[in-house]
Amino acid sequence: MNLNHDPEADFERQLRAVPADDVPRPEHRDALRERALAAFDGAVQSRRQQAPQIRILFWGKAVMKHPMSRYAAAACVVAALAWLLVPGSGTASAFEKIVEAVVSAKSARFHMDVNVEGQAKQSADAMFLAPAKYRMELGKIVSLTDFEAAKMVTLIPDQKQAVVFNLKHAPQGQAALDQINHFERLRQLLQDQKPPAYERLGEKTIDGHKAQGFRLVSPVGTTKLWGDAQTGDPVRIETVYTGIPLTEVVMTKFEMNVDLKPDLFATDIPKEYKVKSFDIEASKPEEEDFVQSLRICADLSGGSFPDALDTQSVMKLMIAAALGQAKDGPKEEDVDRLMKQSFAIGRGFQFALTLPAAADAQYAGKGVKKDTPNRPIFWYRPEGSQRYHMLDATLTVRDVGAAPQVDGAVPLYKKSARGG
Amino acid sequence: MNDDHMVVSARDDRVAFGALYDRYYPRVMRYCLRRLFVREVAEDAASETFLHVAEHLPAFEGKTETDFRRWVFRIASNAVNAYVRQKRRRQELWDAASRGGRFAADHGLPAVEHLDWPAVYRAVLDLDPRDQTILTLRYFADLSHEEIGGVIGAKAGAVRTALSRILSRLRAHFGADADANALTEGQP
Repeated sequence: MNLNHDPEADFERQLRAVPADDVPRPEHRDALRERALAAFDGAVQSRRQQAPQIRILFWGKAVMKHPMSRYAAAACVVAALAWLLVPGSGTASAFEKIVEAVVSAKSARFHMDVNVEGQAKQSADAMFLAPAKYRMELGKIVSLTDFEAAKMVTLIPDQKQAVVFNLKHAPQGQAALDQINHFERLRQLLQDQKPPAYERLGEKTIDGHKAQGFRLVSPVGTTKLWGDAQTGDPVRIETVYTGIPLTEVVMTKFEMNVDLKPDLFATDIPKEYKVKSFDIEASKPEEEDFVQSLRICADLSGGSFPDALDTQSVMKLMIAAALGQAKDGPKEEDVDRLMKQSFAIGRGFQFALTLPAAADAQYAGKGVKKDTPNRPIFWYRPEGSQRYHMLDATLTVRDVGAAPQVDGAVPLYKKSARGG
Repeated sequence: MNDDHMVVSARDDRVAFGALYDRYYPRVMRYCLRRLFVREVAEDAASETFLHVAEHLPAFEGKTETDFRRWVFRIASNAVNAYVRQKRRRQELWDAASRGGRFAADHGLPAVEHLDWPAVYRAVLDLDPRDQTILTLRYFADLSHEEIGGVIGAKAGAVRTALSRILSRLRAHFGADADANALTEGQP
């Protein structure tokens, strides 16, 4: 190679000019363009809905883990559904008519059945009062939710006990929504919103109503919405939640815009009641939250990290921990502690499970004992970094240049689940 | 529509996003091909890049096309580097390049001195992923030192210094003996 004259520039010129097979294939370009545009449409739609939805869905998912709050959680279902189903500005289709009936309701009364796999069916009567108050009655137990106040109260008269959930540190954009009318604000946010994607299910007669059905798939699960063909009033709403255990909520016997007194929704607690209060942290989870969640899991299991970062693994841990308490069942303080720990675990896992594909996040903690030396259990690449943050079994985070090579490591980004 | 306005519009306008895609797909695809040699692997990386862009563009805070370019190539580089960091995959790429023959001769193209793409690729693959990123962005994606700095999170001066070091290493690799046999030395 002759590099006698200005060899550096000569080499650079040669390097640039090296021919290679680097012409894109039109077939790939066009197919990816379609996928990218579809992903973009979804992202734009999600962005418009995100602010109001996150708070309610997160809360709903968190409290669902606690058996005492299942009925209160079901209230979140209704609220989440209302958020998801805000109508667009297009022509009034049958679907939009049903959506309109749901979201424009000033009040409603309905019946709700909750089926959790492996448990007996539970039923409740529910009431809704605009803008965002809910009341659930399960026999004598009453659960009251005020989404504007970010507060949920469950009253248990037989035990003269009240359980209070408070949402803390929600991101600013969401908190601001609480300061003005819930639905009006949402309409402003979504005024250019296209109707949500749905699939028609045809017509059938339900409880004497000729109803039209639609199926919607959202991040929390699949919803079948049946509405009166004439009025659009909801007749039956079924939601099957993603995750384990399988949970299905069915709402029926709707009475729309009935007269309900505001006193029914007051979250005041009778003076003689003992109050148990839980704060649900709603700020964006960080790496340290994830480390803390694994520490709790290891403590609960006797020293091992969970098999996977999923609901099933957490449920296994919590059930084992509850059964491992006193012979006559867990004491009150044990239940309180387990509840707080389940919130903390869910929050920590959320950090890891929402990392993007580019983070190359992987979990390798299955079967690993806490404090095993030199054993990576999780690693990911922070946004914009070429290096990795690696968490080892001593729960120490280190900055490393390359991803560890560990047998059985499981990538956390699921392409199929995110349309990739 | 000027370039910067197109980037801002593309946050919620699919037509503007489509225009950005049309403009950047060839560049990103070429970059991925130069980094990953095997077309199917490069197409996967390009797909991951644009799907990530599509999903996150509504929240993208950049205001200029330069911001966008840095962002897109940062995502592409992360996707590519995640792939080549695994030794097994790197070996597969190296093997593919070894089977690649003499690209210019096989395709009836004029040879560039003694450099041929499969041999150059093997030498590039022998570099640290960060150095691969710098070299490829500079010579095959035509990004400026400042833009490369924006992609990898370094100052332009540091990029210049790194590039000089990388070129010296490559020149030593190819310059000592231009014989094609010598180009097959050194596996990753």
